[in-house]
Amino acid sequence: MSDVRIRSIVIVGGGTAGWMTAAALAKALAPNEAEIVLIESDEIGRVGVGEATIPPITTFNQLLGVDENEFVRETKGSIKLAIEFVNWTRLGHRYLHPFGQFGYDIEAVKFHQFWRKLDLMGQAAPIEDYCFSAVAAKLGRFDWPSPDPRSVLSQLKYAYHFDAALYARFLRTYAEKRGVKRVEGKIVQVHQHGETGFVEAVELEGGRRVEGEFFVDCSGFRGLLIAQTLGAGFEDWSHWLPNDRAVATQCESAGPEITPFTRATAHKAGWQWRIPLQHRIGTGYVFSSSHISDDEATATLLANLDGPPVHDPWILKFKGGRREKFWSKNVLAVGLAGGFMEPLESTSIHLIQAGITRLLALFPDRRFSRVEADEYNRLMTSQYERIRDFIVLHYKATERDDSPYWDYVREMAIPETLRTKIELFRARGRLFRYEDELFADANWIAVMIGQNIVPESYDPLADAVDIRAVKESADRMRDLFRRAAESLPPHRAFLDHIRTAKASAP
Amino acid sequence: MAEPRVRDILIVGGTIAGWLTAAILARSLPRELYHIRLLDAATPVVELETLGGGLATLPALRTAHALLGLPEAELGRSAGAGFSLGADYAGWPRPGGRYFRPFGGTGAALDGVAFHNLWQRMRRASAAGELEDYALGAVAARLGRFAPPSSDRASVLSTLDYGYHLDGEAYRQLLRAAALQHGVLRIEGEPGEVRLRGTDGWIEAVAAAGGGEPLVADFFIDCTGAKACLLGEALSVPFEDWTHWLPCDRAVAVRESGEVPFPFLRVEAQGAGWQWRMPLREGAARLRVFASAHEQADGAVAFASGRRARFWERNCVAIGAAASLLDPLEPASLQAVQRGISQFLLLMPFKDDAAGEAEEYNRIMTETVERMRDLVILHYKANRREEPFWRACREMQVPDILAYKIRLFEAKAKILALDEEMFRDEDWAAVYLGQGVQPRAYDVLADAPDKALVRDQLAGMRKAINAAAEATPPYAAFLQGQPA
Repeated sequence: MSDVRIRSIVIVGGGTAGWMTAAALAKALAPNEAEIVLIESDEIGRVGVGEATIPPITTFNQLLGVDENEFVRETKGSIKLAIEFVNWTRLGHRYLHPFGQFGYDIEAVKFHQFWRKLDLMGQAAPIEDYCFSAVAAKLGRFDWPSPDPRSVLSQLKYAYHFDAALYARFLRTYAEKRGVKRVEGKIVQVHQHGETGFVEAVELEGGRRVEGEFFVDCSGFRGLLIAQTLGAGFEDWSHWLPNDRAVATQCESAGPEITPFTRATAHKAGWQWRIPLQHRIGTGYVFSSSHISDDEATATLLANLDGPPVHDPWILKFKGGRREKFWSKNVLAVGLAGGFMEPLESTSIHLIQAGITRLLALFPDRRFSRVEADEYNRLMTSQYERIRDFIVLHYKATERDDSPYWDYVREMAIPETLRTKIELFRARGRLFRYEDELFADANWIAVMIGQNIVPESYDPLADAVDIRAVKESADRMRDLFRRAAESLPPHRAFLDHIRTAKASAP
Repeated sequence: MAEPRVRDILIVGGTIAGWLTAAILARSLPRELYHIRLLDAATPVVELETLGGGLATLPALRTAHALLGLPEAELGRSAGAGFSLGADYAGWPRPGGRYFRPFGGTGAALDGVAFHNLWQRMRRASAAGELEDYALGAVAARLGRFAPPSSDRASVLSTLDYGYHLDGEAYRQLLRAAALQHGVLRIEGEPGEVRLRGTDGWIEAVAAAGGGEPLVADFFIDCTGAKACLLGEALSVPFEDWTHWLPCDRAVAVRESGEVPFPFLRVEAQGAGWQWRMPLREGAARLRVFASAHEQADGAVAFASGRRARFWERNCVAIGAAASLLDPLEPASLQAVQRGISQFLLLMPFKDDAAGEAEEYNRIMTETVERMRDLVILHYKANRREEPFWRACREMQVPDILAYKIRLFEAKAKILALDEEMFRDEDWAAVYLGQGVQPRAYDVLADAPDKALVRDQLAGMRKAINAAAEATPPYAAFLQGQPA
């Protein structure tokens, strides 16, 4: 067995993807299993934008054994309980997509079915009122969830906002402490095996060769190894996701409050993210260059800041889609080298994490069996496609008709998998989840209802339960959520507290 | 909300699937809103799984019994329930070979690494015994002992799980009594003419053969067994034949007496098929299943594995053998029935418009039965026997998804669980390894924990399992302690 193990792994590119991969491999592989080298160049500029995540990030932190207080401190992070979508359904409209469940199932019937029945009777509050994370988000409050499963406080679902450059630095310290070697340099050439085409080494400026048996391509959009060297094609999704640029900056906060949620505000030809950190706000306008110019987008961004900008805005270019193969020969692409989806649902870091956990589950040996790569590609393709469907939903389900951009996305043809989901939900609020699908029922419910895909009727089995009793228990739940949320500290006070607290597990 | 509701549901066929469906629907749906009737022939339909009297079931059936309020003591009293810790495969994958597949757990994961990977690592490095040595169910079964699982998660006894061996006809009657108690109306008669609506071909009514008013309903459930009188005959939904993958097509059953009871199902491979021996409280049921292309026998019942192209068509859903019929090597037929019922409840239709629900039901149930089918095919495909029947099985081309799963296991000991998978990863691991599919490598994460730690952990597990197995009562003594 031991003679076929991978002895050396080379990660090409630092940044979030590179350092997350390095940290996870250093932690998960047996000590001395393989030498891990990460090559990055300080020359390739990297500005720390605010990054928003989703709850599975806490699993990644657990895998690494990271202390959450320390992590929030080091990354100047804050808590995220939801995304607030402004102007998506129509101008002037807003809704929350919170983490966590809506209400509780009754007799195996989903809560949202009862909610819809009450709604049709004119007796339901907005569905957000029945989700604990949403209630806390609206009140701007948070504390680590209670470990007592009987307490409602244990139901708080959260993720983080943080500074991506600080996160990479944090992980770098972690990985280097566990034996990962960092090599500074710019890759000028890639050496492949003459017959098999496997990557054997990369050559740095100045002639240094770094050899490896397995390469992880974290080089970003260009895909130095996966695309430029091995020629993996790109499946273009811009007909579903027409945004291809972003103008980004950071600005000062307007006041002491820090919202424990991300805000996504739809504009004329795209949308603007707003990610609050401890010290400032990361923000940017994601837009379609065929609908507005860079200058106009920049002007829109600058007109919609909380406070003065602390950087000149800069432009990023991208294309929505994925590599046809994420793993080819002895090269695996993680992060932007594998594909790109706009950060509307904060999935960028999750896709990195998903790539790493699937790599660990299918970790190759030097025989590089074809089926491992096939399975990896199958799993990642389905991750990307299911997330894509969820993002496309936000554009398709709009009533906006105030610009050619919104006319286009409202009318565009959508993937068949998404069409089926919308139809089933629109008829009677029914949902199903595909294998390995990231977003669960509650996520779909939040966005469908938020964007006015309201079921025409409800599950007939909801009639089996006395609706007055349901109404009473729903009222009690709302009240309980509100009182419990009010008992939590304001988000700012929570952050101030952990900034000064000693490192300890929550 | 003016949508017209389904109120009248007619279940056609008093098979085990029919009565289980009737009982669960009646228990789950409010009586004031739904009117459930079942058309039951005076003489029971011959069902493959209960030929020779015995019906083997998986642990999941206990969930249905809990819902129905059907106590275990009643099963023992009325349906001769025996208890089963799993299945012992003798003569698989080669003459003289054997392995045991327990219903309960095998080992315990460490740091998120599936147990069979840890075992692979240690087995390659040193003597770690067989995989089943880490399953209390298997060890207790080998010793002829039985105990119900403990609810104390800290106890090794909590890893046990069990299914039943039931007297099929008695069990059918028990389900019938439960269904009637929950408000189902039984109408006696053979299914006769099916009247379709002229405009769109929906079923309007089913007549009981030999007279009486046609039974009008909003929705019809076809539980008539393999004949599929409604879905197949009246609605012409074609049958998709699987005998090129599951070549056994004949069954002969015998009821035996005087067997010393043992708490598991014994499955012996034979020249052109296999046979079950299933101990009941009184005697045992024996079912011999084989391929008619390789062996002839008088009095054998013919069957074919396969499924209907669609399970839900217009206002009719088929549940049980009317929907799909699988070579009974795995005692899983009732689990497919349970799944069909719960999925139907999840997609409970309105009257006159069920297209979306039908599409979704068909998608989910197709995947469900095909994933079950694939595990059964694996038993045939991965064999080392030399009879012509077995050689042909070894050489057959299996469904693409199964071929892919096998390749993945061979490469990485990786078990691929797809949507709607009913068998556990542990079932797949036991069958792959039992049938001699050897992985070339295992999960790399299994190498991360310290070797001495893993070795001690495995040794500790075996010790605890052996001690617990010794402490459980002999099966016969356990049965005597049960109400009879």
